[in-house]
Amino acid sequence: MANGGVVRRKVTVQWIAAALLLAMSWRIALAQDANAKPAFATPASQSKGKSFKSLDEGVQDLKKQAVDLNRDLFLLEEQLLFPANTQVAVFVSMDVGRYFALDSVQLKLDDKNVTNYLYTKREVDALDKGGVQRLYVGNLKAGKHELVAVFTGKGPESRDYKRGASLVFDKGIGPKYIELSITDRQKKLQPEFVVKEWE
Amino acid sequence: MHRRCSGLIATGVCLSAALSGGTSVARDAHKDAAKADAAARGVENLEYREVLFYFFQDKYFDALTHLLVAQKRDELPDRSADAELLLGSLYLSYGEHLLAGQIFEHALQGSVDPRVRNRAWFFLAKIWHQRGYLDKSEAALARIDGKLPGSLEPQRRMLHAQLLMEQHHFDAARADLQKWQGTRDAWAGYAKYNLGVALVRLGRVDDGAKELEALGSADPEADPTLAALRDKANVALGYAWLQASRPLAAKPSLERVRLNGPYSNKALLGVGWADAASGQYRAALVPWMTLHRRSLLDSAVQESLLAVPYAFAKLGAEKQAADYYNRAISDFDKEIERIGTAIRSVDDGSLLEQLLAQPGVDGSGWYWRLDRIPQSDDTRYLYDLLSTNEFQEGLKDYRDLLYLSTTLNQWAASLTAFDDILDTRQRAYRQRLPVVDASLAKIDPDKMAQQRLELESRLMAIERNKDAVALGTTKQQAMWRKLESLEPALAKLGDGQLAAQLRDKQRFLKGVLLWNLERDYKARLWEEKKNLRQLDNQIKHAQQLHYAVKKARDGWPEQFAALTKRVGTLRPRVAALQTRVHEALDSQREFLRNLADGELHAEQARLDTYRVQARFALAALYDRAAARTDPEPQAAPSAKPVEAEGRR
Repeated sequence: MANGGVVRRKVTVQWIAAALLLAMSWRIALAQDANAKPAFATPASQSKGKSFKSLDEGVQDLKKQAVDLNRDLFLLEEQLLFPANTQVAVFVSMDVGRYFALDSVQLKLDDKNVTNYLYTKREVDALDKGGVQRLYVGNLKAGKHELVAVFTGKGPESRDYKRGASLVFDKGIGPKYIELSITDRQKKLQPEFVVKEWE
Repeated sequence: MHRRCSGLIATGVCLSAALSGGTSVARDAHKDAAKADAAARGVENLEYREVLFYFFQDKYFDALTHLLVAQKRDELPDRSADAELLLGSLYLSYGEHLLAGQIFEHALQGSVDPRVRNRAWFFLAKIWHQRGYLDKSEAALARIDGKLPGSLEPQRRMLHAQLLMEQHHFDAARADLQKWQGTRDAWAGYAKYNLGVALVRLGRVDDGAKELEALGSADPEADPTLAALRDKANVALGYAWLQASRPLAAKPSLERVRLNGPYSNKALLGVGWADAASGQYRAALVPWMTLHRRSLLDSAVQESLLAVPYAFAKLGAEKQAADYYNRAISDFDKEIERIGTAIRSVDDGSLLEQLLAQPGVDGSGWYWRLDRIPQSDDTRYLYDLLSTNEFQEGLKDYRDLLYLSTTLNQWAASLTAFDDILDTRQRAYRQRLPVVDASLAKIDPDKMAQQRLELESRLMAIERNKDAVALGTTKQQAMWRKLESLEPALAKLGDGQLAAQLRDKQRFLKGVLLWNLERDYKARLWEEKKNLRQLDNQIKHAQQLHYAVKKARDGWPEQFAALTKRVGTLRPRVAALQTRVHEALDSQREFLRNLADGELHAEQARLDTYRVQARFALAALYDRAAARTDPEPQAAPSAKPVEAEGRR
């Protein structure tokens, strides 16, 4: 990914920052609920506070170093296992999702099963809130390939629902991104599964 | 609110909606803003939305890693305030409050929406308060410009008052809290309570009592959410009067406390003391006996084990008093033994393991809080400790460190695998190199380009000369050559009739052939040009492949060296961090153990004191019974009523 051919994505992220702060308002309210009520001062706690603070500062430093190290290791791993010239990444996104409750996705590349993913409720919720999941990362040679995705879950009226979507794509020498998007088709009151490709 | 907003406008609209609404609105607003923006931007924010995918699952470490990766790849706007704000928000969620503070400090100076800026400082202030960074918390609050929206504003004011009180600035806190007078928001009751406490701490007991009395006398039906606060105010007020030796004044407020609320034990104990202080020992026995039947984990109940026999003794019922003292000693023995077991399990680390062995505890991040503890003898005395910020925040750090330790162990194993991968690839490279070189040697992209150029020149010449024969089939060209080669021989045959017929036939055949060639000329020329274009594509593709293979072939040794070096550099970083994390885990464990030990030892010491008092009182009772001349036992519980309220 760090090699040539990388598609630069320069986007404004104000919405995410503002949204995270929004999310924090209720998360913090929950986290602090037990402490929300004012109480008598607790001098005993303060006397031990110095010790806690010195430990906490050390932990803060370690966490910063760990996340930086994790970033470097992540980049190394990706470059090593999925070099940019052969990398193919498949993402799953969901918009609205009123007519479909996702259970699992089966992914085939060139008729070979590459992943069978079962979703947890938290993952589905995260997709529903606007998150995008990197479902699969792999390597493919340059040339034509076929991707088939089979979605299973509950459709309208809570009936078992299974639908497929496919895409024949041309893998070039740069990384290839494919998005499997689950949307609602309002007119037909049915879910729709769209495959988009990006390079 | 509309289900969908568009682009960045969505942020503002949804932000406003969330500011004025409750939590579910905030979540919906967030969702809509994210999706609307996604729709507007398409693939550009795939990686940002992947960050959100982890964020929404509380996987802050992963969310942050993905964001930092995007930043490292230069896929974020150039150090813009928004990007910084996003990063700061994620650091905050991850529990990196000091770094988040630094980032906000820098990012929030720019042209950030004041609502966002104020909100960020408020959250930081809350987190710093919770972590005991009182000065930082106060400084963060001071950075808020104007009022916060909705319910956040009273929260901000309350936090400020709390900070002042926790730093013993009671007069300043009083001034702050008095501004609440007359308001009817959800925090007004808490403000009144804290105002009462601040006044008492300032020595203005009567003024403080007035505030607590007002709160404690409020109609519980009017606002059930304030019932616990009302109880708390009544207990505080009652004990304040008891401490001031005014038992008659204490009793009404203590009797207003609900019988089944969290403060009922203290209230029952206090009511008993108020009666006892007035010499009403029979009346005192009523609340104390009720208390006596409750869980021994509560300090008020423990004290009642001494209070009940004390009252019996005062009433002259020595036998009952002796029985109750004996039962108290036995109960204290059992509890002291249980605490001893709990202390041992704290010391050997098994208690911490129990606490963190519950579902959902793995992971990291600031929002987590241990709400339930396993039911066992080891943990029954830790409920109070669990409610303290110090223990909870310490536990959060410990949990984060455990997560880091697991992650680092996984990376250490991965680095070994990376070495193997590199080694395998290097061997494969060496094995394939001769084959690759041979293949590359067969293909000369420059020669191919030259040949293609020559082909194009030939075609242009054919077109320029309208050379239909050159585009004929092999058979046609052979026939053309043969017919042309016949011409000199036919010329030598003279002027005979036969010769003339042969020459005519040759001309005829040549003419037919030329006619056919010219008829097909345009189609053939078009076909050849098409072939040339296809050839262009094929040559281009072959050149690209050749370039890619050559690049891979030439680049691998350098790439191999670079990757090997990176693995080599990262390995000591992982190892060093593993060591530091293990050391930090030890320190953190020690810190938590000291807190738990302190709590348990204090509890044990208190029970031990009670046991000594019970034994002393019992001995005095026996002495009195034996001698019949000794004064009545004086071993009343030494714990003064005020202690029950002020302990924690």
